[in-house]
Amino acid sequence: MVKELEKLKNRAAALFLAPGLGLYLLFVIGPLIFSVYYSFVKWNGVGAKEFVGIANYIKLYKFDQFWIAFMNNMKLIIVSLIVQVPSAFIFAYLLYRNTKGYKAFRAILFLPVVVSPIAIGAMFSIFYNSEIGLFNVLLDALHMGSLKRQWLSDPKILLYSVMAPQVWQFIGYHMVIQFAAMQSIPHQVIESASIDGAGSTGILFRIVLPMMWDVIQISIILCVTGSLKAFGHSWIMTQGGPGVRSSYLTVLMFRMAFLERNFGMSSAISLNIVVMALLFTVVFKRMAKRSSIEY
Amino acid sequence: MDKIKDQSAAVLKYAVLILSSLVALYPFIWVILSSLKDNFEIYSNSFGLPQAYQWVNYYKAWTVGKFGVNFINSVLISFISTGVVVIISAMVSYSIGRIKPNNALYTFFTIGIMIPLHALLIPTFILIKNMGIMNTRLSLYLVYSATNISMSVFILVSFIKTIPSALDEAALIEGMNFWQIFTKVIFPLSKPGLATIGTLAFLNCWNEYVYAAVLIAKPAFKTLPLGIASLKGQYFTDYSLMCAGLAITIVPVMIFYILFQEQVIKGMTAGAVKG
Repeated sequence: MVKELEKLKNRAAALFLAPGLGLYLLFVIGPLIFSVYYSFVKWNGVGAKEFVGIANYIKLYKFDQFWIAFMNNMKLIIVSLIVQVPSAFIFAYLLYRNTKGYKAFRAILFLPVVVSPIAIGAMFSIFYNSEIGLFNVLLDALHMGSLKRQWLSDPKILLYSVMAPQVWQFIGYHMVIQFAAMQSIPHQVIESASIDGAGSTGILFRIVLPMMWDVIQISIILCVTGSLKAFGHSWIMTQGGPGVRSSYLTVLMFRMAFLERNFGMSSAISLNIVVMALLFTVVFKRMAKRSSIEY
Repeated sequence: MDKIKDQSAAVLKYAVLILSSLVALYPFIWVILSSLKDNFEIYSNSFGLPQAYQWVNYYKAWTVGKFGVNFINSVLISFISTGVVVIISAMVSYSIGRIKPNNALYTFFTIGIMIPLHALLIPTFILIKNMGIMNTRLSLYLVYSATNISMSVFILVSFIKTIPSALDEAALIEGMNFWQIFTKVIFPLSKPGLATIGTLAFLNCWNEYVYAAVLIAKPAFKTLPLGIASLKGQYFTDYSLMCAGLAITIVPVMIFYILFQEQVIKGMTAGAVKG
C-alpha cells in the first residue's frame, strides 16, 4: 500500500514537473550550454562552424573596443554604488522615521522601476534634446544657461548622460529593499537605546546602520550585477555610439552578433559577463561574511 | 529648543521627500502633458498645461506610428505568457516542493535567476530559427514563459511550503487524485503567491526588449518596446508623436502598478533575497 502510494507520487511528481522542466531546459539551460560552445567556434550564423578553441577570447582581450565597453561598465558600477546605495539608504531612513504618508512616498519613489528601460531611455533622449529638451529648457528657466550642453553628443559627458536615467530609475528599487530591512529591526532595540539616552544620530550610526549591513551587501551586489546587465538605456539612446563610446559589454555583444554576425566573439563577450557577475557575487559574499557582525 | 530642532528636522525631512518624489514623478508627467501638445507648443510651453488638447497625437501614434498593433501584441503576449508561467510554475513548485520534495531540482530551477538573459540570446535566436517560428508571437510566448520560470519557482516553492501538509494528506485520504489536490487545494491556497509571480511576469513581458528585437522583425507582431525603438529611428523629430507613443506604453504599466502595488513590489524585490 505504502509502496503503491510512493509509485503514484513519483508518477505525479514527474507529470507535474514535465512541462516546466521541458521549457526551462529548452530555452534556458540549453542556450546557456550552447553559449559556451559558440564562444569556441568561428561562425556567422549560416555557414559551417569552425572550432577555434580559445581564439575568440584571445582576440577579445586584444580588442580595444572590448576594454572601452568594459571600462564603461566599471564606471557605471562605480556611479551606481556612489549614488544609488547612499541615496536609497537616506530615503529609506527618512521613511522609517515615523513619516506620515510613507506608503505614498514609497509608491512614488518606486514608480520608475516598473517602467521599461527602453521607454525610460527614449524619454531621456527627448529630455536631452538641445532645443526642446527638458534639461536645457529648465536651465534656461533657472538662468543657468551656461550649463546647457549637447548632452548626447559632447564626448566628455556622453557616457554620464547615458548612465543618468538608469541610475535615477533604480534608486527606488534599492530604497524599497533597504526600507523593508529597516522595518524589521526590532522596536525594542531602538526604544531601549533612546531610553539609555542615545540621540537620533547615535541610533542611526550605532544601531540602524550596523544592523543594515546585510541588506546593504545585497544592494551592492545588485548594483554590480545590474550594471553588468545594463543594456536598454544605452541601446535606445545612442546604440552605444559614437563608435563604442557609450557601449556597455551587452551592447557590444549585441552589435557584434546581430550587426556583424560574429557569433563566436559575441558569445565570448556574454560568457565574460556571466563569469564576472557570478565571480563578483561569490567573492564578495565570502568577503562580506567574514566582516559581518553577529548578533 | 529641542522642539524647534525637531520641527525643523521634520520640515527638512518632508522637503527632501517631496522634492525627490517630484524628481521621480515629473519626467512622466512631462511626457504625458507633451503628448497632448503639438511640436511647437512642446518647445514654447514646456512646463504648462496644453493650450488645446491635441488628442490627434494619439490617433497618429495608434495608426501611423503602429502603436495600435504594438499594443495588441503586447497585451496578448504579456497575458498569455503570464498565464503559462503561472500554471507551469505552480505545477513545478507543487511537484518539487510538495509531492516529492527535491532540493537538487529546486536549486537547478533557481540558478536561472542569476543568468543574465543576454547570455542566452544567440542560442535562442538560432533555436527559434531552426524551429521555424521566427516572426511569430508563439516564439515570445515560449521564451517569456521559460525565462520567468526560475523566479516564479523560487517564490512559489517557499509559499507552498507554508500551506499545512495536513490539508493535502486529508484530501488524499478522501480519495482525491494529485490533479484534484492541485486544482482544488494547492492552487487556490497559493493565490497570494500566484498573484506575486503573475504581476512580476506580466511586467517582465510588457517591458522586455532584447528577445523581441531579435525574434520579431515583422511590424505586425512587434511589441510596444519595439514600437518605441522604431519610432525613435523614424520619427524622432516628431516629439508629440513620440510622447504619445511613450504614454501608450507607460500609462498601462502605471495603472497596473497602482492597482497591484503590493504584489509588484513584493515580486520585483523577491530576487534581492536571492542576490
